Amino acid sequence: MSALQRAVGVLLLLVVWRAVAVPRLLEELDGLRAKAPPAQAGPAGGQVDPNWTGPLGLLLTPEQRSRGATLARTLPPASPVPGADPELEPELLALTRLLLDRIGVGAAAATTPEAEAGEGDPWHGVEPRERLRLLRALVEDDALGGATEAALLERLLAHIERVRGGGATN
Amino acid sequence: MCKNPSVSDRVLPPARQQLLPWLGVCLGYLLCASAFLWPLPAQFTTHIWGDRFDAWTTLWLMDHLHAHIVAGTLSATTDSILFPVGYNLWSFGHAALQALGVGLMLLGMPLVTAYNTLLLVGLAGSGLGAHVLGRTLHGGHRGGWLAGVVFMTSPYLYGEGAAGCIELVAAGMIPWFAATAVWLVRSPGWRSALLCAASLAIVGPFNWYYTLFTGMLGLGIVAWQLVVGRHRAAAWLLGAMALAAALDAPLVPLVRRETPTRPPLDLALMQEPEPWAEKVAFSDGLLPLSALNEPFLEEQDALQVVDNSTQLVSLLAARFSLNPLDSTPGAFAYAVGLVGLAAAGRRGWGWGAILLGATVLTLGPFLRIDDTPPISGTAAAWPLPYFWFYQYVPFFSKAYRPYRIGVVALVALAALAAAGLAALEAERRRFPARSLVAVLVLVAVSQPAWNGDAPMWRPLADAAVSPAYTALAALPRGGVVELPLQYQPLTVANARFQYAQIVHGQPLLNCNQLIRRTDLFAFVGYVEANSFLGTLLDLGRKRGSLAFAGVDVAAARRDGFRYVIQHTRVDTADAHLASRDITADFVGEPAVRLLEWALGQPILEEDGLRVFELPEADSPMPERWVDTGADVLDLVLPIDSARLGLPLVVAGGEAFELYEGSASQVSFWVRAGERPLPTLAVESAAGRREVRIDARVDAWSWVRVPVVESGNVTLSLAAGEGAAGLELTRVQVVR
Repeated sequence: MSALQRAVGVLLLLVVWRAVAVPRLLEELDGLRAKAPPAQAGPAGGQVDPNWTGPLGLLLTPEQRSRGATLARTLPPASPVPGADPELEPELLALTRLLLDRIGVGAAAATTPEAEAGEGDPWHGVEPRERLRLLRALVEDDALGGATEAALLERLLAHIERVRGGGATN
Repeated sequence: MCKNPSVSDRVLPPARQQLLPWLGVCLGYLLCASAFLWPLPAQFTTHIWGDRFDAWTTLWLMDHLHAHIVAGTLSATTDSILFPVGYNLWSFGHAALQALGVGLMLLGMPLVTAYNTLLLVGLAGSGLGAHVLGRTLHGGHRGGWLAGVVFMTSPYLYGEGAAGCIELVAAGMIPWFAATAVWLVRSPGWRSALLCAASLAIVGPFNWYYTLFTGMLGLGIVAWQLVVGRHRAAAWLLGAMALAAALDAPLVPLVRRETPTRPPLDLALMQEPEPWAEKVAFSDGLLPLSALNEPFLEEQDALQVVDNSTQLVSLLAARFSLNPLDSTPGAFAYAVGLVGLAAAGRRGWGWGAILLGATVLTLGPFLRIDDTPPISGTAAAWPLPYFWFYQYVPFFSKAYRPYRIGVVALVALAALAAAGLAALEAERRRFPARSLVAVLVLVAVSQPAWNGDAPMWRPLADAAVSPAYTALAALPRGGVVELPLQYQPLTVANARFQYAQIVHGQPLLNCNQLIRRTDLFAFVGYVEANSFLGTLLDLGRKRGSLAFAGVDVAAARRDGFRYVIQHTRVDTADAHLASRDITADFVGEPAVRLLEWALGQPILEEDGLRVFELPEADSPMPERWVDTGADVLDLVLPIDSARLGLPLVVAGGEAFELYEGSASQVSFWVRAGERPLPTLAVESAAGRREVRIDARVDAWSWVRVPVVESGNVTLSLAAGEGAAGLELTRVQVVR
């Protein structure tokens, strides 16, 4: 095989490696990391260390963390919310980030700005102004009442579910 | 080893008649470096490229060396920084490059221009060093150019430059040494050996990391020669390296100062979550001084080795990353180098082996997927080669930032690129090598504009010093503490304190050079023994009661301290590589009123600086100064702009209520945004008044508003007809 053939062959391999293999590998590694307990957790295999309190000292169950992560992925905090009032947008964004930060999934939200609201979106069907009102109420309540972040997340999810179901909003 | 028959006899650098093309090559690399560093050349005299503490410290060092050389007072130790404990300049470990900068300053070049010139020339020199290697392996300048740009345009060098480590950007001596090693093994002899030895030895005064890495590269070439049966060549090269080691031996005690003995890597420690959590708190300056004992600092040094290793995801992605810790040789260098390896065939395997070895070493002691600690049990059970070298090979532990070994991998990639091109040209006479190299040079040099983080578009850091420091310079000589005192350079503002000394010239107790545990330990010992200085530590994030003894204020004055500086403005340049927690800069109540109480009103108040003067040591003073801060209420905002990086918006015609109750003062840190500023509305039974908020777009300002109204008041941010907005944090009400 000539030098040119070898060079072209390796170049093609590198293109495939870069375009196909690297993204898949990174995804796999990400999955591997996701399966593992979070930063400070000890045991492997998805078991959550009961002593792990997360970056803000909060204690979340795996289910709560998973729901928080879903919320984080489906919220579009860094992109315009369809139909949102441009004046409210920064505040909605700020409050969402604050809340997600408090429940320990803020970083995930910041990295998934392009996510579209859809079937799995807890906010689906909730009007942007209503989202803002809910978030603000919850954050302010928490500030005044000292509710834990886990409780905050539960209340947020419950509020959203009620709004989507056409029930009481507060 | 690859060699072009037409130049096989050329074992030494080009003769005098060939200098002209080399002048063109030098000019070419200066142009390429200018394009690669754009937009720095357009702001060459006013801005610098990085804003991490390393950059400001390097600027300080150049100015310090220059001032003391001119005055004839240069000494290895100084108390200009880390006052009054003092600091040994040899602890920098890389003063030779800065000394070259001093030479430029002695010729009349201003400090910032000299710093930028060093960066530019250092980068061009890196390309030139690799060019010599590439030309040696290829036989012509085309190979030189390809190797040169592969080496020079890596994200590794870009990231180190952006961090301010210009001595790491000037890496040209490593490929230059490789070229001399190639000359030596091709044609062993005294002249070649002496040149090779000198090339290795000269790296020593410039940078100890690179001395070790160059040695590693040399040993790799020795091993290669032994494997192919060229024992005589290997012996000559080994001899040259031994001579270089002997030449650098007198510097070993100084290296020990620069890099204290490294602690062993404790496998159990690496797998525990707590030490990693403590490491974050330590890096963020959140631990009390009492926690910073010697065993703890040794533990941090051990964790730092893992933290400074290349992560698997970084290696796979090989992005053009601005963060040096995420940097690798980069996708471009890997692509060109690996294609070169394939083309070069058996002539390239030696470089390929060096590439593989260096890449594995960059991964550090344990394989890490990403930067999430702790180390997994599997990774700990299978340590990587770096672990064994670190633990058992003398001196290896000095290379305690594994990711930087990537520079050796880069040399191998540059060599492979040239060797591969030589093979392609030798095989096909009509191979369009010139066009290919020209395109690759363009692609490589333009990477900062489009590749990875596309960092060309980030703003540079303004190197101007506040004119207020000129007024400080005019005051009588005395030690300075700028608030908040930290043991880690947490923020850009804090990292710049040392740099401001080039204007005010007063000795300073600061933290930029506390990255070595020996210096940090000395700092801790001194500050911990004085309750006044201890109170000034991390004052921006302290809450609640503050107290210090009167005798400690007197003791500080006796030790030479005279000024305490409060900043009521924190500049917020957009180039924030260094900033982790800007809230640390925001000193508020009760700290300010306690200072005013204990030290009196500022003797200088200008351009965001309030300078307090310590009373004479023999002045009458209370036994203890205490402010419980019981009447200070820190308001919890729904949007804390410093934390979220977002403005607080008040809809047109509406008001956002901050507080209701009794108040004698409200203070806050504020920054203007795109929207008009709201006013601060103070409502009481007596009526309503609106206070205009003074805020700047380019800086956070501390605003203190007295509330003269009696009884309950309501404090609100009120918008006019249209929406108003501002960035707001640390809102405090004194009741």
